[in-house]
Formats: sequence, C-alpha cells, structure tokens
Amino acid sequence: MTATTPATIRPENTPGATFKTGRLALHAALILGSVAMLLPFAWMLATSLKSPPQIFTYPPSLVPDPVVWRNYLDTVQAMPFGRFYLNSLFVAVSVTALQILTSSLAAFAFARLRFRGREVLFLVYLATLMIPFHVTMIPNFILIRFLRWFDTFYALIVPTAFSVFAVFLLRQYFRGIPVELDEAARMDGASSFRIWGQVIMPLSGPVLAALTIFVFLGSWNDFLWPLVVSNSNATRTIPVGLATFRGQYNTDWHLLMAGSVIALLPVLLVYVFAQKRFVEGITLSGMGGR
Amino acid sequence: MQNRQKQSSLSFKALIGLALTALLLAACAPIAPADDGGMAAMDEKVTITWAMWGSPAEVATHQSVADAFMEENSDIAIEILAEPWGDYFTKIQTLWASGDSSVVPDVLFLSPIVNYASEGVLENLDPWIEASGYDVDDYWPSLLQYGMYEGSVYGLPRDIGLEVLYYNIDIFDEVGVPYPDDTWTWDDLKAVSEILTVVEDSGRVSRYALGMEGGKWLLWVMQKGGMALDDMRNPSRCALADPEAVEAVQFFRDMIDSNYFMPPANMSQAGGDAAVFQSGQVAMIIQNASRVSAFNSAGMNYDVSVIPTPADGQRASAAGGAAWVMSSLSDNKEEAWEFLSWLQSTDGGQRIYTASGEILPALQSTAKSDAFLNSGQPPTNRQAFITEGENARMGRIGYFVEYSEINGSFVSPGRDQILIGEVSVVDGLNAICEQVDQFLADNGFPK
Repeated sequence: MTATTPATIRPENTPGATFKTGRLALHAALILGSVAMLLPFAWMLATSLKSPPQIFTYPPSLVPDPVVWRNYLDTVQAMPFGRFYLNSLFVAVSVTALQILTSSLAAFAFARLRFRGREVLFLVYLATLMIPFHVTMIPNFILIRFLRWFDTFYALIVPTAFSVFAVFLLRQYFRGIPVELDEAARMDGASSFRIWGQVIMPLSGPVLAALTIFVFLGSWNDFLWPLVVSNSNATRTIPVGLATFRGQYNTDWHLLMAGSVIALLPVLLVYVFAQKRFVEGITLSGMGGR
Repeated sequence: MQNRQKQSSLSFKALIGLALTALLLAACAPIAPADDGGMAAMDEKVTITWAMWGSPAEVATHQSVADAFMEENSDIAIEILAEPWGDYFTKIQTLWASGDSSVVPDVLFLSPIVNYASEGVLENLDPWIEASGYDVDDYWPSLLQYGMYEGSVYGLPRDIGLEVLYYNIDIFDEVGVPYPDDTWTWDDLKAVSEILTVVEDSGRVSRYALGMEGGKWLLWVMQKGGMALDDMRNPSRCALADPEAVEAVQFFRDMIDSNYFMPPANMSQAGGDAAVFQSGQVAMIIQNASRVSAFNSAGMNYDVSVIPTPADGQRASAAGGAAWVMSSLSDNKEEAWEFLSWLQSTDGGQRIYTASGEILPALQSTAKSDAFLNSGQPPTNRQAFITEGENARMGRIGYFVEYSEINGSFVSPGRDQILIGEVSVVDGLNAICEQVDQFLADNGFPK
C-alpha cells in the first residue's frame, strides 16, 4: 500500500510512473504466464489425489475432496515401481554421462582437429539428424537382436549414448572458444586429450549444463525404444510402466497421475540443480545479458 | 577465479568417472534377463511366450490364467509378455519384423485379425481345430468370422464386444420413469429421454439422457436393417446412403439436436462414456461389458438392458472381439495349440476371465454358466447380454484389409461431421459414399 502512494501523487507522465506501470504490466504478464505453466502441474497433483468419480465432475475443481492418499500406495503396488524407478535412473544417468563424453569428444574433433574431409564428414553426420526415429527403429532392433542385447540394459543405453544433436550443439560452442587458448596449451606440450579435458571442457560449463538437462530429460521420458527392447520387469523403465494405466477401454487417471508425480521428482531435482549451475555459468563467464 | 577453475575441472573429472562407471555397470548387467530362480533344473520344459496388452489389474488376471494352466500342464511353462495398450502393436510388429522366432511370442492377443493374417505371420488354425476336434460351434453366432481370413480361422476371439444399454437406477428412480426393458423401441427411448434430460436456464445441458461413442454408430444403421457396405467381405458399393441408413442416422441426429443425446465429441472431452455415466451427466449409455468392473468398483447403482430397437428393426449388437492367435514363426506349435485351445475352453481360460468380471465370454457355454450368470456382482439383468449375444451380427467392421483405410479416411471423418452437425445427414452420408465408391473402384473391388 505505502509503495503505491507516491505514484498516485505524481503526474502521470513522469518517468517514474511509466516505469511503475511498465513493471506492473510486466509482472502481470509474468504471473499470468507462470499460472498458465503451473496449472497443468497443479491439475496433475490434484487428479493424483482424487477418487475416479471426482476427476470428471462439473464444474471442475482443483481441490480434491476427500484427499485420497491411497492412490499413491495403489500406484506403487500395481507394478514393481521401485524396480522401474531404479532402471530409469540407471539408464538416464548412464545415457547422460556417456552422451556428454562421446559427443564432446566428437565435437572437439570437428571443431579443433584438422583432418581431410572434416567438413564433409560433419555434413553427412549432421544429415542423419533428418532421418526420423521410426525409420531406423526396425533396423536398430534387428541389430540389437544380432548382438543378443534384446531385453538388456545394453539395448537401452548404448544406442542412445551417441547423439548428432549434442555433437552439433557442442561443436558450435567449442568454435566460439578462442583458439589461442589451445595454442598456448599446445606450446606448453599439452596433448589433444589434455586440451579437450583441461581447456575446452572447463570453459563449456553452461552448454554442458544445458545439454545435461536435455539429455537427462529426453532419456527419462523416452518411451518407444525402451518399450520395444525391454520385455521383462528387470529392464522396464517408468514411462513404459505408466503407460499400462492407459487401457483399451479405461484409463486409470488417478493412478496415472500419481505415478507421474512420483516420476517427475528426479526430473524436477535435476532441473532445479542444473538450472542453478546453468545461470551461474552465464553470469560468471560474463556472457549474460544487461 | 582460481578456485572456480579448480572446481570445474574437478566436477569434470567426476563426469568422466561417472561415464566410466556407467560403462562398467552396463557391462556387468546380465545378457539374459535374470531368471536364475531354479530354472536350470527344469530345462525339460517347453516355454511358450504369451503376449497381450493390459492394465496392471488385467495383467494380474492373465497371470492367474497362466498359473492355472501350468498347474494342469507341468511340462509347459508360460511366460507372459504384457505391454501397454496402443503401442503394443508397434512393438509386436517390430518383433515380427526381426523374423527371429526366439523373440516373437508364440501366442498373442491381436485385433483386427485380417490385417495380420494377410501378411502371413499367423498360423492357420484350421488343421489344428480339425485334428483336435475343437468345438467352434460354441462361439456366439458370427463371432468366429472376426478371427477368419479367406475362409480359414486364424484367431479365436476371447470375448464378444456386444453392446447393451446401461442405466443409472438412481436417476430413473428420482425422475420416476420405468426402467428400460425388452419391449422398448426407439420411440420409447425418445419419450423417456425427454423426461430424463435436464437443461439449465443458461442453456447448458447438465444431464443428457443418453450417451454413446460415435464409433458405434453403425449399430443404429444395422438395427434398421442397413449396412456400411453391400458386402462386408468383398464390397462393390457403399450402402450408407440407402434409406435405412439415412433414417437411422437422422433419428439420432435429431436426438442430439434435442439435447437428449450427448454429442460424442463432447463426451470424449468430458472423459468418455464411463466418466460421464459415473458422474451422472448421462443417465444411460450404450457400451460393451468392459465397463462392468469399473462401475462395480465405483459402487454404482446401475443395471443393464437390451438396446431399444426401431419398431420395424432388429437387434444388431456387434459380434467382434480381440482374438488369441498363434505366430506362424512359433517353434513349439504343438504346445502353443494346447495352450490356445485350453485358453478358449469353458473349463480353462474362459472361466477365469469371466469370473474376474473383465469379459463377456466368447463361448456361449461359458456365458450361460454360473461364472457369468450368477457371479453375484452387478448388473442384475445379465440375461440382456445373452439376448444381445444370440442376436449378434457381423458387419460392424469390414473383413478385408483395406477396410481400416476406408474407415479411417472416409467413414469416421464423415460420421463426425454429421454428428457435430456440420452437414445434413443426407449430404454427409452421400459424401461418404461418393468417396468410398471411388476408393472401391480405384482398388479393383469387387475382387
């Protein structure tokens, strides 16, 4: 209240007033935007605590009455949820670590090493980005069969440990790092591996953090490939497990949403944690705005 | 600055360490799924892999069926492969594409059968049926057609998806109208609908009398004696513009326009027929037996009846249902048939599925047994299912490969336009038939 009082005595056209109304409009827009973003999450949370008849009542309500905590217990008991959770975590962490390792090495080669046919090779590699996953799914599956990897973690991890997109993203970033830094290191006798590990990678914090988020989220949410190559509960991941709540005739929305809330937690944690590093990276390296 | 660099290179080392650990861990993971629970001692057993879709509750029923079979047949082990509905078919097709009999399940749940049988991936069951004397006459009339391709049986339908009329007893009591019975005609339905429907002052309909998925609309056409095509196996023309079809569709379009019948598009937005029926937004729905377990577990006060027919019409519930098939790649066909024929017997799988309340059995002897008629669970009037079953008809879908395309490209989109009210019934049906006739001509029908 006290903050708004001075604004009312000022003439309308002073810079202060425009600044205030501008801020106000900005905040209104931001609040509106965040409500729009948060509403689906709130709806998911509410649905996860409702009994089935409550879910589709009209008018819709965000407040479950009564609150059905049992949904969470039912969800976890409907399938080996803990096992699926660990599988998902193992696969997502492995894929993220491997993909950052392989793609940063490849990107380093494409950005820094000079060899014949580098640009053509990169172009061809990039072109594979255009092939949709569904086209390569069956050949990939036949390969997995040939390697006898069907229904193992190899099949879930190895094919996704390489990514054209990640190589492209990192290569573009690496090219922006001054070459003089490499040259100085090479003058001091550093090998290519050392330059990659101790010059390029430490300077790429922000892009690596962003990539970590992308890769982890992508792997955590991946559905079709894990569905195809896993047969037993021993290798099933969370998204495949959750999909079973959507039946031919009925969908158990309350259980599906309770499962989704549980599945969301690590993603949220990774995001919150990595986002902090992401923003930190931008400000510390002097590349932020303002 | 110094400190930050050190931190980055440290966390970088941690990253490499993590990656290497992941590699090592992946290398340690067993090649085969862990099944060292004393399986080595039983390597005499033949293992049949059995694939189906299902919710966690349905999978539990499938497992109890497998357990019951293994108890009776100690020389055969059944391994369940349960997948989520929808992407089940993507997975099964991928497995088949590998052409490797060790990954393709021996016995599978499939629909529609013609599409797979025409690809040659299914075992023709005729010789097996003949050799074992399996009783195919026990199926509901026309039902086995659903599992046939070019005159041979390729699949044994597990259940029959025929529809009945569900009604909410509480709403009927509150309004004070008599419950539906076998004598109801479409006109009775319309008269009662007028009383059951509640429209608020704002114009919003707070309760519709009736709801049904748009995809079941051929029920009305067939009740009037019409069909989608002149021949559902080898068509020469579209029959949806014939007078029977026009009259039938017009009747229900009028029901929609009078607010008696919930528009199918609104219904699916509101969560589907089960949701609107449970929340009391709709007093009656036309649906198959798949809703029974959900309504029972929600403790609803409801019953079922036969579907009202037009005064000059007939009963025309759908004779169709997903079927068990055998893969033509199977290495153990003898055992697969033994399991398949047990699954589809009243003493075997049919009884267990029926007792679980999940299906209306494909076999008449199972449906007329205590497992179905006297299960002690609602609905009370289970005879309605029997009556509809004895009059069930083929023809809700076409029994040829191109039908999926005809339905998906012309019939379904055209139907939606009519039911939404974008076009008049006559114009809409004529438009569908023009497209379908063109398609049939282009593809060389009749063959």
